Order: sequence, then C-alpha cells, then structure tokens
Amino acid sequence: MVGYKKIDDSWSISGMRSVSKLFVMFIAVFVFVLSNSATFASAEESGCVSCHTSLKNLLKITSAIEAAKPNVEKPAESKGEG
Amino acid sequence: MAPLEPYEKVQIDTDFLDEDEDVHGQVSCEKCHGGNPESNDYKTAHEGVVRDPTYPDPSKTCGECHAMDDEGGHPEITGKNKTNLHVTLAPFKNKIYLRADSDPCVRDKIDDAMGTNCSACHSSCGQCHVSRPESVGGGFIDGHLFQKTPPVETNCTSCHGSRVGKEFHGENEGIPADVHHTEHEMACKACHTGDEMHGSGMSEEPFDRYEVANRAKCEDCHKMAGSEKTEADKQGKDLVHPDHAIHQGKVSCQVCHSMPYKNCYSCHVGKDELGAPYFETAPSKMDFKIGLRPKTTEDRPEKYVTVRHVPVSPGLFDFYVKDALTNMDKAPTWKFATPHNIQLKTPQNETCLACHGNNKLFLTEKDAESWEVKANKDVFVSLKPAPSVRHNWLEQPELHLKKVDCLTCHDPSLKSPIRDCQQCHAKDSILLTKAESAPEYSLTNWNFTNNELIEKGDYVVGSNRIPALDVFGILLLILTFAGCAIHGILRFISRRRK
Repeated sequence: MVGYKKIDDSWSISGMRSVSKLFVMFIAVFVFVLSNSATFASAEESGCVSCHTSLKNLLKITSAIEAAKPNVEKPAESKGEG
Repeated sequence: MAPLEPYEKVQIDTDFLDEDEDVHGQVSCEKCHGGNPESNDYKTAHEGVVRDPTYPDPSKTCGECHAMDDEGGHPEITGKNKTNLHVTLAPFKNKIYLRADSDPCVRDKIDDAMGTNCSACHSSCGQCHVSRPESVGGGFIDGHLFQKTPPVETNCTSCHGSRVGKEFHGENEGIPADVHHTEHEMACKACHTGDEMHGSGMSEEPFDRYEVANRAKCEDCHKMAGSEKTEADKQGKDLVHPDHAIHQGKVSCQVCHSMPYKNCYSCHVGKDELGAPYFETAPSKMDFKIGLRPKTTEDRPEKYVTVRHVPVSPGLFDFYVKDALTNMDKAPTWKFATPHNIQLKTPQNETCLACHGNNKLFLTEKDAESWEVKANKDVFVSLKPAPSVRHNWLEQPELHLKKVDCLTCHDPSLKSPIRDCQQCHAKDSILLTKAESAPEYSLTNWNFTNNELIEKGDYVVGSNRIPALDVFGILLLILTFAGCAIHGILRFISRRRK
C-alpha cells in the first residue's frame, strides 16, 4: 500500500509539472504569435489602408496639411541644370 | 514630368492589396513603415513613420526576401546594397574629397554642404521600384504597386535628365536621338541591367563609376567580326568595318559614334533665407571633345575618349566655407564620358580626315580656364602635325590625301602602312586589287588599263595606261633604232663601193 501511494503521489506531482510546462509553453507561443501578428497580417487588414485608399480622406487630410504649412515666400530657385 | 498632387503621392491603388497583382501588399504597412495603424488620427498614426524604409539599409525590409540569389549563396539585390552607387554616391564623394582641403573643420563644412545640397540625389530600392526619387518630389509611381522595372521617365531620366535623358531622347536642339532609342526602341534597362543597378558586388568600393565591373559595355552586344559570341549576346550588329580593327583598344566607341553633348560649368550651392538648398550653374554648352584618359584599365584600355566638363568649380562650397576645394589640381574637370546620343554616322567619322587633323575636336589647354589647366594636364591631347605634313614624303601629299582612301595604305591587316609607291603606280595597282577586281590586260587594248580609276575621275601615273599605245611606242622606238641602223649600214655599203 505504502509503495502504491508513493507511486500515485509521484504521478500526480509529475502530472502537475507537465500541465504547468504545457501551460507556460502555450502562453509563450500565444504571446509570440500575438506580438508578431502584425508581421503576418496583410496590408489589407491594416488601418493605414482604409485611409490611403480613400481619395476623399486623402484630399481632406492633404489639404489640411497644406493649409497648415506656414505661408512663406517662395524659396530661392536653382538656376541652371543639375 | 508633371508633378504629382499631394494626395496622388500617397494614394494606394487597391490592386496593391490583391495578392495576384502584387505580393508585397500581403505585408502589413507598419512592418516596413512603422507608425501606429490603430490610430484614427493621421498625426498620431504617422508617429515614427519612415517614408522610405529601404534607405540607406534595406536589409530589414526588401532584404527579408531579396538578399540572396535563388541558390541562396550569392549576394543579390540587397546583398550588394553597400556597393550600389545609386545609394552610396561614393564616386561623387570621392572626387569632392580628393579636391577638398584636408583641414577637418573645412571637411565638416563640406559634409554639411553635401548633405544639404548634393546627397539628396541618391536613390534606394523604394525610390526606384515604388516611388519617384525624393530628390524630384517623391510620390508613388503607381499606387504603391511595385515596379519590377522602374519607368524611364519617372525614375531614370527624372534624375539623369539634363545630360543623359536629353541626349538619348534627342531633346538637344539639332542633335538627333540615340540610334538605340530611335531604331530599336531600347530603354535604359536594355544596357543597364538589374545586376548593374543593384551594385557591383565588388569587395572594394570602386573609386570611379567607370570602374564598376558589371557596368554596361558596347561590346556586350557588338562583337568584333569573327570574335566569339556567347549565349548572353543580344542582337547587336557585328563590327565588320575595318576602322574597328584599327581603332579597337585605342579609341572609345563614343569618339567615333557620339554627337556633341552637354558640358556643365561653375556650380555653386547654398541655402536661401528659409534654409532651402539651391544651386546655380553657368549656362551649359554643347560641345564634343576628345581627350586622353589618364588611367586606363585592362578592360577599358582606350586612351582616346570623349570627355565632358563637370560643373565643379573652386567656389562650389563658398556659401558654406571659403576656399574649401584647395586641391582642384588633383582631379580633372574634363572627365571621361559616355554620351548617350550614339549614331552610326557622325560628322567626325564621315571620313578619316574629318577626325585626323581636325584639331577642333581635341581637348587642348586652350579649352581650359587658367585654374583648371594643371588639373587636366593628363587629359589634354598633344596635337600632331596636319596629315599633309605627316605625308610630305609623298609627291603631291594633298592630292594623295584627297584622292586615295586612307585604308588603301593603312591596311589594318598589315603591321605597318604601305610606303612603296609602286604598290599603286603599277599595272596591278592595289587601288584595284584591294577591290578584288584585278583586271587582265591585252597589249592590243586601246582602252586605259584600270579604267575603273579613270571612271572615278582619278589618273594614277603608272597604273592608268593604254596598252596599245605602249606597244605602238615601243614599236616606234624599235623602228627608229632600226631606221638609224639601216641608214648607217646603207651609208657604210655605199662608201665602200666608192
């Protein structure tokens, strides 16, 4: 009996360890995949694309950027051929 | 090239997102460009955005896939980026440093000037295959779709336009476009392959762009007659004209086949009140000059080459630092050039004498300003005496130069030119035997021998004669002697009878 109980305890302890290891590995894999998801995500899924494919948005934003630029005199022009 | 509106520069074509159209659209934007795709505000969304993630080092972007060749062992494309002159601009910097003062403070100011005014003219993977170069305003070529071959107008001649582009497309007044463009519709890529464009791959960075091992060469397509052609050879015409055998290895192809090209002078750079860089150059001049190449190489042994004036001047960086280029003598201002306006027939190859003895074509001290004489001393050509002087051992040298094809005596198959008069002035004159029409003569023929020469308007003493007249003259001579002899004999007989 003593011997059997001993075996049972050891099984439960090693089993617990295996589950813990699996859990840690799962977390590690999950974190890795999550952190690299951007790498594998297509541009189509990116938030950038919705704006950069929309003519309306681009016109609005580029106009705003142009309007925000300080109204300065025209810079000196180069003369001759480069 | 029409400039793009601000929105056009950054508008992505939805085809880019189609895997069948462009596989690059399957990579997320922020993987290459950074930024925050989660933000809906354009300011925060663009925080940390890199406009061109391929410059100066594309190894983390393009290099993920395009570093090695298909066999995985040979550096290809980004693997050669450090030797890509479009990226490094190394030869340009080398030439400036060669002329620059050695004072570290001066060097710092030169670096500042070059960084502001000159270095913007670099390119990168992205600025050839995705967008226009930043130096010409940037903006997508075609909605971020990757272009396997960069378009000529937006990406080649947008930078190489003033000289190469205008020459090649015939945009210089009175100068025709390059025959490769007009006759064969060849674009830049036909000669300047991707292999060359992506870098030399040489272990040592070339000092000069003409030292790049995999650069374009005329002989890649045009082989000397009889020389072996490889699989890679294209449809170029063989060089069958005997002039090639004479000039090969001595004269660059452009000396005979390029038209006048653009030369630039006196560049000065600076910044305006707002800090915007500008440059000023003196008016460029169309000219054609043959000079000497100071340093020839094994694969480019030609001594006589076309040379172009580069715009460097002693006051180039005066805005940033006075007298920065104190060593102007160290590098020529007339530089080996390969103009891109090739023609089969040019004014200088019309006849041999159109070039030989035409001193206007050759670069001499007279073509240089006083400050650049020393710099170009190894480029100037020592003019040789006029052909009529060099041929004054001949009777009537001018007449010979006018009437006789140079190749008749300067036969490329012979080690030295023919100097024996009787080679021409004889019945079997080489003037005709060279044309493989050696005539057969009849002593009773009343026509001129070598009648072809007479038909060309030439009379060659000793070569042109009427055989029947020759016979008649000899007979007359014999009869005269015979008459004298008979007369003498008859008188002798009559005296003895007396």
